[in-house]
Amino acid sequence: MSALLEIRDLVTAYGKIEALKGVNLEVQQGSITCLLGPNGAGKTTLMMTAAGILQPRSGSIRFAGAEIAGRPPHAIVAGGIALVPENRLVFPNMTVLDNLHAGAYQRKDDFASDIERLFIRFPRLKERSTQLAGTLSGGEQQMLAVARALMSRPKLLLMDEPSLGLAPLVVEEIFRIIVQLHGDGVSIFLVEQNAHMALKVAQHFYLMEQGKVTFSGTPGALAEDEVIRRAYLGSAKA
Amino acid sequence: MALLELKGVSRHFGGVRAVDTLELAVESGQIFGLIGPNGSGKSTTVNLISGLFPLTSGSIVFQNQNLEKTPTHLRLQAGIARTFQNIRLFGQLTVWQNLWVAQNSPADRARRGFLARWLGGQGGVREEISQLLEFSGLAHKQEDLAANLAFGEQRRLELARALATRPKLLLLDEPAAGMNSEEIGQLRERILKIRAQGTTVLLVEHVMELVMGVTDRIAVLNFGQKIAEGSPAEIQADAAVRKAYLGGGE
Repeated sequence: MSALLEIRDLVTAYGKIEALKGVNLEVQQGSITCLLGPNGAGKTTLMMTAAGILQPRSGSIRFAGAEIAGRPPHAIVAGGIALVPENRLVFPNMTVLDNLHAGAYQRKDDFASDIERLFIRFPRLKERSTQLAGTLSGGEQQMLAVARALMSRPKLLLMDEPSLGLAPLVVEEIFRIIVQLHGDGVSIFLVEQNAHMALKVAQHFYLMEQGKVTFSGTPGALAEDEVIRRAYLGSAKA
Repeated sequence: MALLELKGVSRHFGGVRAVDTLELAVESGQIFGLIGPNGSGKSTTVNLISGLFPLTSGSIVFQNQNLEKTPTHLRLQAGIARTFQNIRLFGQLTVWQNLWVAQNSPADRARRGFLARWLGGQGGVREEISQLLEFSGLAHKQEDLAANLAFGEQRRLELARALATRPKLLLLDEPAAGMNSEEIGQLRERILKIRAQGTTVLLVEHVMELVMGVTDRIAVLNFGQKIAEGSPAEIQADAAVRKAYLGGGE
């Protein structure tokens, strides 16, 4: 495996406050890599910087060997990175189908077959294709956010807390989908608080605290770390 | 005597029965859990109790008073406060100001009197806000704009803002979303302290780690109807609930 995404000394700031204080991490080609961390650690900031929504103050983000730090979001999407944002952020007043079209905004080729395939994977979206996205349930909106991201045919999918606010049964479904996408060859960089679920799918873990990476290791190493165990796995067995 | 009673409550949106003939009784001092699949009517129920929109049919009784004609701000004054699933803070006010706005109600102005509000010391406005900031772990952020807080911090501020109104009944709509185990543990402690101070809690939540560890009683909704009610242990053992909601994983 080689690094598909390589982040070095990345600093992103809101005014005077540095949310990322020199982050270093890698997402290997073909992996599911998971980022854990408490609220306010900078996980979402990292995702937004990688997606080009936020401009880094300094540091480097290399994707498939090319420097992309500071490039605009549309260029990053065209290059093969798509973001499934925290809280889904589907376009509520557009139909499900229009949301999918929006995901393919920059594509010049015919993407009708992509929609057909996505409708097979997400049958609920097909049933609701003409419905406004804002009227979908939380789980359906999350499916739509994933499907919209897939419309750009990304090599790397950034997923910011896909299980947020979803029923236990739906969380299981989301993770099944993550495994399927991974099986199709998409690399996945996942922010997730549900460490129990993440442990079942991810090959590598990073922990971020106060804008820095403080742990990097395999699921085994993660489960053995006493401090992380307590914070992320609670008293329950891993 | 129940503090809050929902009698045959329904709310339809067009043809959708978001809440359908729901019966609920929350006893004073209880921590009552409301769970169910996404779209099963939990948030709608919270919205009906807080008066965000009217019932299609049925009635809601709080402290023996029918709330039918009581608008939202008077329900708050009667002692019903809430947090929101999709956070609704005053983003361009500071953390401190968010609490001050919530606390500065007509009832509070009458209770304390003009001078006493600002003289400080025990029972003063500033003292009380300081306590809330301490309680929520936000003291170091009190000058920050609410919009600049991280998601979890915003949730803590929403909780503090609701508490600033001195509620008798606190409605919590998914307070644990996006929190890790440690943060969920802290939230559990906070909810238990809130109850110990005499506030009844209605908790809508998907994070079972919290629900099963903190509630006295749980009702389960599916398609707007109650499909089960009981103790956490009874709910976890309920076959219909496992099938509709909890799943068989783990």
